[in-house]
Amino acid sequence: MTLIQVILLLMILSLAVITIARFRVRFFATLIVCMVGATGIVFVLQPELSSVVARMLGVGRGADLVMYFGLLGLAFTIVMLYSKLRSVESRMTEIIRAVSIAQVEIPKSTDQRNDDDNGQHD
Amino acid sequence: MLSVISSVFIVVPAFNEERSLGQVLSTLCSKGYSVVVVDDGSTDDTWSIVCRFPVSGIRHIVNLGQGAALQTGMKFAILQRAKIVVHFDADGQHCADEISHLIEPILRNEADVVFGSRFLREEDRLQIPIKKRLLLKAATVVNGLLTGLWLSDAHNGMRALNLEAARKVTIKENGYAHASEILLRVREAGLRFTEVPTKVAYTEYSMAKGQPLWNSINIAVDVLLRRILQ
Repeated sequence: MTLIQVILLLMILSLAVITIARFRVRFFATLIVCMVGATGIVFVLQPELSSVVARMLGVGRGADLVMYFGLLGLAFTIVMLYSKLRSVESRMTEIIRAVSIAQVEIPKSTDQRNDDDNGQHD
Repeated sequence: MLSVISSVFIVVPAFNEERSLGQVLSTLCSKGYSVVVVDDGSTDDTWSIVCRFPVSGIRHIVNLGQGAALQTGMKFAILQRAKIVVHFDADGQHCADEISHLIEPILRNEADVVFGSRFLREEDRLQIPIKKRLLLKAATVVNGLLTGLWLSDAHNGMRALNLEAARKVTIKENGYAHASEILLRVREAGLRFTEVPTKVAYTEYSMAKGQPLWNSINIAVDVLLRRILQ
């Protein structure tokens, strides 16, 4: 086993474990993470297998196939994160709005304001 | 008549507007309207200026964006049983005298939403710097394509909504894309709308405070993403 294979295997395994354990993802997402992780491990251990799959799909090299799927996966992740960010922002806005309205400064009459102002100057 | 005027709520979103806000509030208060200022997390003296006037002051603890500030103001106005809600900029661009014209179609029950437009009168149109004029025209086309609502002006901050419209038009876009979002909500809710001419005073200050031209691209992207991801 080459050094790069060891590094890649460790990274794939760590990412899979972190995703599943730390983020407590749902069953369906866990399944996808396991499948992607397993495919990654197989391709790292048997690099020529990726070329076989690539040729079946009409792609020249296995490395190109992995890159295409990698980019697609990255784009999908960005969209998911953006969606999540919008949802968090929306909830934060609702909280700030509720707090702000609860603490509204209702206008006093002008006379009262003038009295207050005079009081402050005295 | 006085009760009608006091049931008109002017929502003024303000973010770091210490230079212009005093003048704007002073004019609005002299007209007898109910004024709601939403200080959107300003870091200057905006809040202390708000406190000097007989207006309802709401303060966001952090800056959320103009769209979020408008929605906060509208929500408060609805709770206060407003009959009409008017959006009004804090940078001194808008003319308080024109509010009475803006709300006329609503008072006559001819429209639920009234948009101010800088393109209905020749003299108002010529006031707009040429680069901005071209960009606004392009924005009306983008807005029309994205929202299905074809207006003569885009991103004009002055608009009036009756209570029904204020309830139905919920702004979720915190940033400047709210202007396009409002059009979308109006169309979705099937509200009656019209445009009335309004002038905009382009001062050095308001130009500096306004959105930079390239921001229009960000707005278009925001609107597009929301349409895709909603």
